[in-house]
Amino acid sequence: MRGENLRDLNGITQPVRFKPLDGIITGAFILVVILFSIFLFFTNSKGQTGVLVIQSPDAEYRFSMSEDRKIEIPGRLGSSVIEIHDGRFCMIHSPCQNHICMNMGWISYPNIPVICLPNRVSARITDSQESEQQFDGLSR
Amino acid sequence: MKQYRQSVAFYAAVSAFLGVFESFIPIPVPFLRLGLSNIPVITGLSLFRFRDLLFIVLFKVVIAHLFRGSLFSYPFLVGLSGNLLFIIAVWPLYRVSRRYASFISYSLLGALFHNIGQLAMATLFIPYQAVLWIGLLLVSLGVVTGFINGVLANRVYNGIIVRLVEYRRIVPFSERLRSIE
Repeated sequence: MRGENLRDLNGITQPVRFKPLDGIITGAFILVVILFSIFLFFTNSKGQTGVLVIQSPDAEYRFSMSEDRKIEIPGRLGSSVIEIHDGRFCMIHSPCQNHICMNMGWISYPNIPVICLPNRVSARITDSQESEQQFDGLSR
Repeated sequence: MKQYRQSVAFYAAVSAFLGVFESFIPIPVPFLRLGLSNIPVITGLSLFRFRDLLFIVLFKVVIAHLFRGSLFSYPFLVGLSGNLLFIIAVWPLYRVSRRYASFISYSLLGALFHNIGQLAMATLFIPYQAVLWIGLLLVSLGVVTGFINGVLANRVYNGIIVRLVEYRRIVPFSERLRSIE
């Protein structure tokens, strides 16, 4: 009787133990993770094809992220200066008081906004595909 | 047959309990789960029919998300797609290869299929590049948690489930039961 129920069902009468196939699959998974991370790191360092979208109270500006340049944007208080360099951008000068926008530093990832509320200027990178996949809130 | 149904219900209850329980364990990344609730599902591969296992998984997902407070929101859809892909993919694999592999393999495969299903669903809500990065994190952590869960599942099977079946506290499915039904 002992183990009989298991035998006619599972084909397993021995205790389940670590078997060679488990080792192979574990190794394959670790390999896949390593390859995946290598692939991701390499593709990410190449892609600098985004578009910088700048909103000011008067107009919307678009600049390619591939060219280095300095941009002067007129706002409510004065002109904000945004610099594009090496596929990153930064608010390097702003007439506002707190300089929160300048303290955001250099941004290279898409959809991370740099916003100057007193001067009503905001800037962010969008993907080159101009996809509509924009989310404004996530909750768990 | 009655005892078999009670076994399925018992499994579903244990799985749902673990699903709720693991949400009490603090984890830094919101998407990451330990997958403790998958240990009953994986060991249940050896005991139940496909439709009963499907019931266990669905019950687990609904109850766990009900208690986490995320039922009918997008984490529920993400979890549901991951769990369904897992059960649909691993069930035939288990039927084919159960003699050559232990629960570690199925746990790892389960973690992978969970992640694939979750990421496929997540691409609907999150930009593509971000999904790849979350995917790397999920898959690499999934290998670790999947392996640990597999070892735990082996131990649970050898230590607990074999005995429960022996003393007929759990009645696995067999052809004899079908004739009774």
